[in-house]
Amino acid sequence: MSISKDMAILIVDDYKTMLRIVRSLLQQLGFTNVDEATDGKSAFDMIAARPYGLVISDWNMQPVTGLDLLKQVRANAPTANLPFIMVTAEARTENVVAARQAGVNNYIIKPFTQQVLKQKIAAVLGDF
Amino acid sequence: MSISDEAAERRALLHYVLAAQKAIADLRPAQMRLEKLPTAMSQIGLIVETTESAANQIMQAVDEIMNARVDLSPAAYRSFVEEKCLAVLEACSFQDITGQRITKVVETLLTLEDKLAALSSLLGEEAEAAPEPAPEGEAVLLNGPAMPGEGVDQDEIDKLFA
Repeated sequence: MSISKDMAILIVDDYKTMLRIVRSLLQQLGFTNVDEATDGKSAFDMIAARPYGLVISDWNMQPVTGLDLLKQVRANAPTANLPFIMVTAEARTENVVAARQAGVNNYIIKPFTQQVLKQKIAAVLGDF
Repeated sequence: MSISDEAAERRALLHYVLAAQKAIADLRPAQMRLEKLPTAMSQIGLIVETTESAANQIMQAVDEIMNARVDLSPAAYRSFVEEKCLAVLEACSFQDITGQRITKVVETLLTLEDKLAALSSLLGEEAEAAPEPAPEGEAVLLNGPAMPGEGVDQDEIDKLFA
């Protein structure tokens, strides 16, 4: 299956530097329809207001964490199947298991390369 | 208990209280609270700002190189790339600045550690209050970047998603 590079992608991180890095990496991969949010709450509001093809979110944010955001997305019928990739420095097995149980589609450890990001997007959405 | 025993016990208690008072005074709690710790926190805030600024400067230069005009002559392109590389090198000076700030913070923490160790030794472990409550819920999972040798790597995570 091939994916459309025009699809809307939401990236969520409380560090604007990381938002810029992920946006640049996505642009280099051909994805230009990218929105940004700096916390879980505003991210969920944006997800509720606009259909996204993919969410790429950090975990450790306040007051709503990436895991909280994931659970809210999965609990909300219209977004229950929204592809969701966690990008985080939290690298313990229990973190990965908790995210998996909450329904994350893939998990990337920071720091990461464009190649890893591409692989994980392809693993979740299909080749592009 | 004889009168001489009571007197000896009172003297020992007095010495203990005076020693504890000195250990607490050595901590210089007012200086720590009003000067050392706020300075250390300011240093950490500046480290965050400096690294963010440097990262943005580097990314800006890289963006400009990747989006350089295609009609530039080889000489003009070389000059343009050299100018942007110089900007990247300049931005990397953040490592020196943040390193110095981190050294200051570490010095403050080491001083505090020494003084707390002296106080703890005097008071004894049993004098300490109950341990801090363990984190609960999702707080257990929020440990930040793993220390070297801890955590799992991307390959192990990939196996969980295979």
